[in-house]
Amino acid sequence: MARQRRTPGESAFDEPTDPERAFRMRPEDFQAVYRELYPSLIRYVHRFTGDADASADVVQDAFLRLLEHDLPRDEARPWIFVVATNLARDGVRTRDRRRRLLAAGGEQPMPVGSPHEDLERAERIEQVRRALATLSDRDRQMLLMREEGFRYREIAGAVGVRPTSVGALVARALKRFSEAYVAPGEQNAPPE
Amino acid sequence: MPHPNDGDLQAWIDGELDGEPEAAARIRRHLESCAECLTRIGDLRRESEWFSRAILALDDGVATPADPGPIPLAAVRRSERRWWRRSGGVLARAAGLILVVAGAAAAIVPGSPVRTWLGALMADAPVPASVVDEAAPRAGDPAGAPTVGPAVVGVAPEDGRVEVSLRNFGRDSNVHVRLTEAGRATVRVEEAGEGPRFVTAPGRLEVIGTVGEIWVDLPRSAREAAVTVDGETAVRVMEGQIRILRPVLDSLREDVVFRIGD
Repeated sequence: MARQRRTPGESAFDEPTDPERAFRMRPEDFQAVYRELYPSLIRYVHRFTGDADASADVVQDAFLRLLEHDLPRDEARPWIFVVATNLARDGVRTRDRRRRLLAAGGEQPMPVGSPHEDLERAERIEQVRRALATLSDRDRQMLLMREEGFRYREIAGAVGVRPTSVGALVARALKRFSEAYVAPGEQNAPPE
Repeated sequence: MPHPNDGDLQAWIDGELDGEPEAAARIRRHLESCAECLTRIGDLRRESEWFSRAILALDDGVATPADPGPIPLAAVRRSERRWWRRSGGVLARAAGLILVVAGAAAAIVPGSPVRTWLGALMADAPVPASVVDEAAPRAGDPAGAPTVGPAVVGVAPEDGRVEVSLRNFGRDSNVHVRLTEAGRATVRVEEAGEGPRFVTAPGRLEVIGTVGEIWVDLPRSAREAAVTVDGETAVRVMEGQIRILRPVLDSLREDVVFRIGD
């Protein structure tokens, strides 16, 4: 299996490559893990990518990789979020390249969303996306993992920082997001 | 005490200092007497809530069901094949080859126990009259004429499409479906009584039964394949991906199983 491109800090969750260890998770255990983690993971990946179809593919691929690894359940959760983040990043790069090629060829990519989408809702989504885009990949991952209830030590393992640094990084990222995000119809962010 | 930094305050808000009671108590005491840090705590909390509220807007368009249902079967199958190739496949196939060669060598020696056993086995074996495998209606048969008796029937896709239609099976009948690399769809039925009736047409196979255990193999190569139960689609295959539209009894075996009555 081709190894995912990783940043140095992600080595804590590096995938074991020993074939003898592959596919040891019992099917019933895997089914339980799948049911437990799926809702949170699909929400996280969708927030990260903004693409429902791509998110479903990423999540399925991430679970497929989990199936091939022998991990205790408590380790499976942060592990699969890291794998899904890497898959999502690679997918985003591919989609960006495709959009650039389409633009260079004079074609426009299809707009995201249904034609009946409420204007204000669409604008709000766009504002949130724009504010998220002001954050680094690492900060975005930290905030989104924190929203899914991960503890600082798990977030630290996922992004490759010391657990004692997570509080400061989270505070700084939240501040940056708040400064960048102005909700439609509201003047200041965040409200006093 | 000097003012705690934003990182400490954020960790305190997030309950990350619960395991460090001394540090948590220190911050709590400081907040009792420092209006500046109290204000800062309020700011951090507001920013955190602001983010949590804003991010909910992104959840439009994504389903996060409490129960996502069974694991996508296609993914499991791909994984199984990959595992087979990687870890056990080579050894298992080598062992199988050795057994076949050894068995064949023993069987050709006149008077060998293996040869004697094989001879007895073949003499006692019933003729498999109930097994028929055909890709299309036989020449001379009127199209759509029912064939009574055979327990296994196959049909090739027509224009890349193939449909298996199951009719009149009892509610307790189990249907086992799997994708295969064969170029046709096949149905095998184990049924008490007189056996099912099969009606074949190009790209379509209708099986009319009573109560039994039904095995359906669908060709992975088909552009579209489907299994219908009394007219309703229960399984759909598109471009090698299988979707089960019925409650699944078991999806972690070689095949996926559902019950007619579910």
